[in-house]
Parts: sequence; structure tokens; C-alpha cells
Amino acid sequence: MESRGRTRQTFFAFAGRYGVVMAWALLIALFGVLLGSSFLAVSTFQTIFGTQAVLLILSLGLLLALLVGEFDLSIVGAMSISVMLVGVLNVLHGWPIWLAVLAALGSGVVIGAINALLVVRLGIASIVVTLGAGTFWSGVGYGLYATTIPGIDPRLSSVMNGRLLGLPLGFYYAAALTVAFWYVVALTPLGRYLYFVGANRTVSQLSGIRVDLIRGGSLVVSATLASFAGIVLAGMLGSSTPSASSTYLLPAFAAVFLGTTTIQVGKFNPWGTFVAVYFLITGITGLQLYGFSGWVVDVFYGGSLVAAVALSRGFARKSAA
Amino acid sequence: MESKMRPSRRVVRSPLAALVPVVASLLVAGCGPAGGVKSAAPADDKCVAAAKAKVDAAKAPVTFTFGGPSFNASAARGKTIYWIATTGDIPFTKAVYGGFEAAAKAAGVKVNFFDGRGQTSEQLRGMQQAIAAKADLIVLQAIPVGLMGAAVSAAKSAGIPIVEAFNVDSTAPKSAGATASVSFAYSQVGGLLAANVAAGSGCNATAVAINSSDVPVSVPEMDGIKAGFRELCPSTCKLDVRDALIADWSTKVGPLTQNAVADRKVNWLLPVYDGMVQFVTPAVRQANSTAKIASFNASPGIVDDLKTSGSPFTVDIGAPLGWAGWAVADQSLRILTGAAPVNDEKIPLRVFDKANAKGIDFKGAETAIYGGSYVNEYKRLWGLG
Repeated sequence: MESRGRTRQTFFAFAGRYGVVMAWALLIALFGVLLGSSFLAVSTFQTIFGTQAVLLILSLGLLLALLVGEFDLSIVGAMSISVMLVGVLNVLHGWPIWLAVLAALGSGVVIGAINALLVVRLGIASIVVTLGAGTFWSGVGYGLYATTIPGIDPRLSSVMNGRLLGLPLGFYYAAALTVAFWYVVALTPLGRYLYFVGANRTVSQLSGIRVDLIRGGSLVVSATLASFAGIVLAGMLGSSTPSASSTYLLPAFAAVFLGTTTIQVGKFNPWGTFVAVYFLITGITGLQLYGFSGWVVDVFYGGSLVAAVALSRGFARKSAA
Repeated sequence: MESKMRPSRRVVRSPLAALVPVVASLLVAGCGPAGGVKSAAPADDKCVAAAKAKVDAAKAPVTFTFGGPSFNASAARGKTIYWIATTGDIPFTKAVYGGFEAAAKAAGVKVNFFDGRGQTSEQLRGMQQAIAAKADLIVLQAIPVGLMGAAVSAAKSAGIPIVEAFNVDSTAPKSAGATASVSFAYSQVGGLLAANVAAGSGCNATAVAINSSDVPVSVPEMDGIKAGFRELCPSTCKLDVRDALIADWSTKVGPLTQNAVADRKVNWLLPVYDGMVQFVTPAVRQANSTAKIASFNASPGIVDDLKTSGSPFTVDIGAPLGWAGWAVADQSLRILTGAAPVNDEKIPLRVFDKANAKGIDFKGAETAIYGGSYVNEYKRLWGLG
């Protein structure tokens, strides 16, 4: 009787941990049956894996801020500035592309440092600071140049769109970042500090952890990665436009929160975010190939998030019972 | 088009200078509408007659004037076209793509629709999907070709031609990277808006155009409005231009309008797209202004308001959207069959106002709204009729 209960607990714990991964596999199988070769073609998976590098990089940065209990709503503002700086400096002012990229990356450090200063030093809630900062920097992005700037140095596109095993290099940068984040978060003392600070700031402080440094540093890294995502986007597009970044905010939050329902259930974790990004885009691609568009995609996006979190919570309760 | 995409002199010279417009806008915010309104002048009969002649000609039902040349479209049978829309959930896209799909079916061509959802990232994904699927041709609908520069280069390397739709003025050169272009005569739309204002005001207009500068084709439309005023009433018509980005229409167009009509001499408002009219009309009413509204697109559901008694919405210029879809198919089929693309598909425009709108059922068939017949004409050009 007791062993049956333990088996039940193990099953629910497994289902909770790998539910989204299994749902992802089921989704592929379902669309494979419904659409046949048009979905199972190599080109479909090249599209699925090759187009989400920007979102994954942005989400990983956001994950770090959320990990220490801070919101960062300024990521799309930082991304917008970065995208525009690459175009403005390289195309309009003739800067070498490497210098424009460096300036764009530097803008993320500055934006993150300002956020950190206001949040950590002045004690203003991060949701307020970054909400304002996001809007401010998005506006500055439009101020830099209101429309599309084509003609960015093609070397940046080559660095992002060049192919390796059929996938663009941007995918490998995002995947490498995922591995690096997983290493830091799961296998280093810093990773444990990050979780401690996110779980209980006061206890962390009393334990000797440099809480302010970790909170501020996370906000700087978050904004810097957002700038890097902007550089990748500019490279993938081969152009700059201030409107390109604004639509990334909610998908990034969705990916990070959906990521908490898998691999390390209940925790913000890099592999969970990775799975979430590609699970969502697999569903959307399948729906689009099936002929759906518009509202169905939004319903799938939002519905998946709520359903996954609810199921994960349910499995967690069952496994604990 | 390359020149259109080339950065203008509005370039900010340093990142810090980007703060200048922010500060300037704060300073200007308290200054009310731009001053310098011209005093009323007597009507200029010659100007009114010229403007009225232009308007009357454009109010008549349209006719098919596109002359080809003809080609054999059956050679395109079985090929695949990807249509990547800037966003799929607007009536414009549905109507144009509906026409395109019907035309493609008539020619035996397979079509795939990709909804760009108004997001650059999605539009890029659509391009990548089309290239990976080895499409025979890609249509970019209202997505600047320059924005997709890297993907367009990849398509070119893969031998996939690009047709840009509704990105540039029909009289302008195609964008760099595009194989061919299909579009409306946006500059002519601007000219017709100016002619309507001149005719309706006795060539004594104080007009405010509400631009949406982030939409590339706003440029030729605005240029057309300015050229129209210069041609018809350079000394008696005054034009001010305000701006609201497309994402800000719902929050900024209303206040902009109220600010504009606070000057009681303003007698015409020109929102460049009729999707703005729903925000302009309430602001005009709230201000008890007598200003009239003229716009472009004749969007289903919006153009009907011309019939509403007492509505300030007076003129809406439209183009038959199903027809435009067949025009995109015509250009695409020419490329797929190896025929030379044409410079201008000559998609017609029609002016609707309170007078001719009375006799039109805007919920009816497109041919009943605009007149003209195009399906058989295109089929004849394609050797299918």
C-alpha cells in the first residue's frame, strides 16, 4: 500500500517536472499526424529553432532579475536603444560595426546601472522604476530615428545568420547563454546566493550575502542582455527600427514564468525557460501551418501559460500528498 | 524606393541629442496650436472650378485601364507563393488577400498566408519560414523591404523573388531588394484630399493634417496633400501637420484633434488614414467645431459614417481592395512565368462623399461600390479567359 503511494508520488513528481517537455513532444506528434510532412520537414524545425534567439536571450536576462525578486520592465526599452544605436551609429554616422555594437552593449550597462541605482540605493520598487525606464528608453529610441534604417554592415548579419548544421548562429549564442546561466545558477555559490536573495532578502543579508550588490548586478546583467538581444535582432534583420522591440515584453515574461513549471518546478530556471520558448513557438508554428492565425495564436500563448502553471501546481500538490 | 529608405536630414547627430525633442516637446506643450493662421479671403472661382473638376472626375465609378501586356499564366501552375502580411487581423489585409487568393486559385497557384501580427519578429519568422520552405515567390504586404534586409538577401541568394505590396507610391521606383512592386497612388490620394478641401472650402481652407509618420506610405500621401494645396490655392489655403504614431492613435489622435480645433478657423481635418477617424470625430463634436473630416482608405464599417447625418466625416477616398489583390497576383504571375513585371498596376481610386455615398451600399459587393470589372479583364490578360 505504501509502495503504491510512493509510486503515485513519484509519478506526479515526474509529471510535474517534465510535463511541459512531454506536452512539447505530444504537440510535435499531434501536428505531425495532422500536417504530415509539411510539419515534420527539416525546414520547419529550422524555422522553429532558428527564429527565437532574440526572445531566449531577452528571457534569460529577465530570469536573472526575477530570480533575485526584482521586476525588469525596462528590457524592451534597453533593447530598443541597442537596436537603434547599431543602425544610427553604423549607417548614419559611419562608425565601424564593432564600435557600434560595443556602444549598443554599453548602453545596456548604463541603463541597468541607472535602474540599479534607483532601486537599490533609493529604495524605489523595481516595477515602478523599470516601468518608467522602459517607456523612457523606448521613447528615446524613436527620438534617435523614427523609422527604419536599412543597410547595417552585412558582417553583423553574417555573424547572426550564418549557418551551422542548418541553424543560424544566433541560436547557438542563445543556447550557449542558457548553458552558462545553468552553470552559474545550478553549480556555483553565486547561483545559490541568487536564489537566497530572491527567497528572503533579510535572511540573506544576515547570512552575510551582499544583497545589494547581487540585486543591482542582476539588473545590470538583465539590461545588458536586453541590449545584446537588440544587437542580435539588428543583425538578423539587417536593419534598425524603433518599433521592433516593443512586442517582446510579454513573450519574455511568459517564457520565464512558463519555465518555472518544468525541469526545476517552482523555480526560475534557464532550461525551463529554454523549453518554454521552444514549446510555445512549436505550437504557434503548427497552428500557422494548419491555417490558423491571429487570435488563435494569442489564445494558445496565454492558454498554455495558465494551463501549464495550473497543472504544475496540481502535480506538485499530488506528489507532496 | 532606395531614396525613400535613405536616412533624411532629420538624423540625430549624437545619442544625447535625442533628448532635445523630449525637452522641446515639454516646452512646446504649453504653447497651444501653431499660430499664424491666415485670415479669410474671398473664394477664388478658378481654383474652386479646378478643384471641383478633379473631385467630380474621381467621384465617378472606376474603370479598368490597366493594359498589360498579356502573358501565359498557366506556366505558373503548381508553384507556391508565400504572402507575409504585416498583420492579418485587419479588414484591409483580409480583403486584399481574399482577392489575391481567388486570383491564385484561378491560375492554379498554391498560396500560404503568414500573419506577421504587427510584430517585426513575426514578420522575420515568416520570411525565414518561406525561405526554408523553398517558396517560389514571396509577397511582403505593407512590410518595408529594407526592414527585412538580411532575410531579403537570403531570399535573393535562394533565388526567391520578392513582390512588395503597398509599401511605396505606385509611381515611385520599387524598393532595393524587391523584384517588383504593387501599390496605390498615394500621392494621388493626397492630391485628391487637397482638391476636396479646396472645393469644399471655396479655396479658403485652414486645414490640419494628422500624419502617421511611422507608416512609410504616409510620406507620398502627405507630399500629395502639400502639392495639391500648392497647386490649387497656395496663398489662400493653410496647412498644419500634426503627427501620431500608429500605436498611439487611440490615445493621441483625440487630444491632437482637440488641440487643433481649439483654433476656430480650422475648417478641415485630414487624418491620413480613416482608422483615425473614430478618434477625430468625437474630439470635433466635443469641441463644438464645424470642421469637416476627409481621409483615405474607405475601410468597411468606417466609410458608412459618411451617411450619418450631422457627422463631420465628409470625404473618404478608397481603392477596391479585392481588385488590388488581383493586381498583386498579376505582378506575381508575371514573375513566376518569366514575363517582365510592370511598373504600375493602375489600381483605381474613388472619392466618396456625403452626396454619392447616399446611393451606395458599402456592405455590398466591391464592384457595386466602386464600379468596374476586373476579374475577366485579368483572366484575359493571363490567357485564361
